[in-house]
Amino acid sequence: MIQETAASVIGGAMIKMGKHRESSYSGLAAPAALGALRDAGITKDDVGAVFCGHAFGGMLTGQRIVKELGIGDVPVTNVDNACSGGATAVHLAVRAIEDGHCDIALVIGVDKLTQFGGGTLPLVQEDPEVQNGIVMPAVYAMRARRFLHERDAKVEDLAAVSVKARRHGAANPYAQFQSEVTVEQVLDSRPIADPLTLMQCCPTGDGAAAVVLMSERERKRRGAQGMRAAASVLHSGQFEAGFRDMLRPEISYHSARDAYEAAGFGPEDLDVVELHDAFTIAELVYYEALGLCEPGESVGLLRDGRTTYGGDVVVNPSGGLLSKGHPVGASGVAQVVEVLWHLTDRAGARQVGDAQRALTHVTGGGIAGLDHGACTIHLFERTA
Amino acid sequence: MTDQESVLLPVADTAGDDRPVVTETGGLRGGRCQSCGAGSFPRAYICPSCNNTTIEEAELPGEGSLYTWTTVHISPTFPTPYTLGYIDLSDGLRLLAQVLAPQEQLRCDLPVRLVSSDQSPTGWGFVPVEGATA
Ligand SMILES: [Zn+2]
Repeated sequence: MIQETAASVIGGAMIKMGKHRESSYSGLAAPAALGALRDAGITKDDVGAVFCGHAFGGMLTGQRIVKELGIGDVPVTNVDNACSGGATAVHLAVRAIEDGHCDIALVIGVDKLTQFGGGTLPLVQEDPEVQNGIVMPAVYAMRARRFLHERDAKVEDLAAVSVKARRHGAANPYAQFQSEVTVEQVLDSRPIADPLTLMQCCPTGDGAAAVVLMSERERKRRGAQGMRAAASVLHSGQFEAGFRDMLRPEISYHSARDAYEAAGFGPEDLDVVELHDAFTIAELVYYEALGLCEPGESVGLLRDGRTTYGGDVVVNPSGGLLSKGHPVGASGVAQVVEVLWHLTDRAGARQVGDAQRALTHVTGGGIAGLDHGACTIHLFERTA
Repeated sequence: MTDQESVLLPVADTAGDDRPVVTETGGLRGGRCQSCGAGSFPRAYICPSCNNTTIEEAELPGEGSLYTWTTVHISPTFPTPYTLGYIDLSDGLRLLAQVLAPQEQLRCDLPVRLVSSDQSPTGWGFVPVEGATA
């Protein structure tokens, strides 16, 4: 029996990801917010609360966006959790509905990375690792180096993640990159942090996405369809002064365990996964963390085509962060929009057949002594 | 909590410390919790293990092994390329540091030791222990 206060995603929209230097934060996000309202069949006056995830929008980003739609007089909460900011906003909306604070919530995720003129994501200089020269690609590059050391894997296996991502993204009109690449092209692109090359890193870009969530009571009253949030889990990283196994990031393992327990179904029941592939190595590590295979088996899972169309589960049908793009705060919400389209048979050429259940996963940030600062996992299933 | 002694003050953790990270005896200038013995680098002000605030400066071992490493080609912090690694010190502490050796001489789990060096943008780093081979 579904609780009256259970939360479902009823509508969603995103803008095409890319370099949108001529757009402000509201210019990026207002079309997505309006699109989500229309998709949900509601008007601005139905919105009971707004949650806005972003990392670099500055003060009152959410209010700057929703005032363009004439939304006011309701709680607007701005959320930073690095790359997990958008998904954290979804998490807060789920909680707000489950706790009975509102029946309809609007969630926005947005970021504009072109404001920094390119290069790596700006990190906080107060962190000792940042002072020693860490950049996000280096965090993942060191994970990749250790992976290649411990596993029967080659750089070609890393590159194969990009090849799959770009193949999926080629069918996604919202993706920043819509062209396929070869293993050779990926490995021949310029070095960023060895062994990671440019085409193994998500691109700099701008984007926005929005979703509307409803309580079960409101959804039934309106006869609306969508996908129920079967689990919404947010974890922070645990500080560890000594050894950490970089191939087993505890934050994603623990979040996945809690999510499956809350949902009452497991990785074997999933049809679609959108996971945090900011760099190629991440996808291989997260196959294992999310339970899509046993630890040690991720390379084989990819090689055997079990994470693409025709396999066990389609991972990153959108093209993932590597192809769709990764405007930090937008990504967690864009993942939810992508799986909504699959679970409501509206994903066009990249539709995953008979998709019933989906998982979205996004981590956030690099901090000395932590795997990551944040991790958010959502599990969804079609509303009956 | 109105008496003067109970008024909390911030930690002046960005005041800077011009003394070198490498001690005169070749160790790493860090901290050690006087309650539980946990080491820290940089020196902590609140012990994450036991939350004691009495953490004294301590010399940490200058030897360890290279858990993993990467040569960075794009960075807003230092001129590139430079090489970073996670070093597991012999007392169990892990830290990120510059690695001052050509890539061909590096491998995971390589024994390394702490040095001061003008070749490092931070003035210190780790090099392979003599006799250790990639
Ligand atoms: Zn202690």
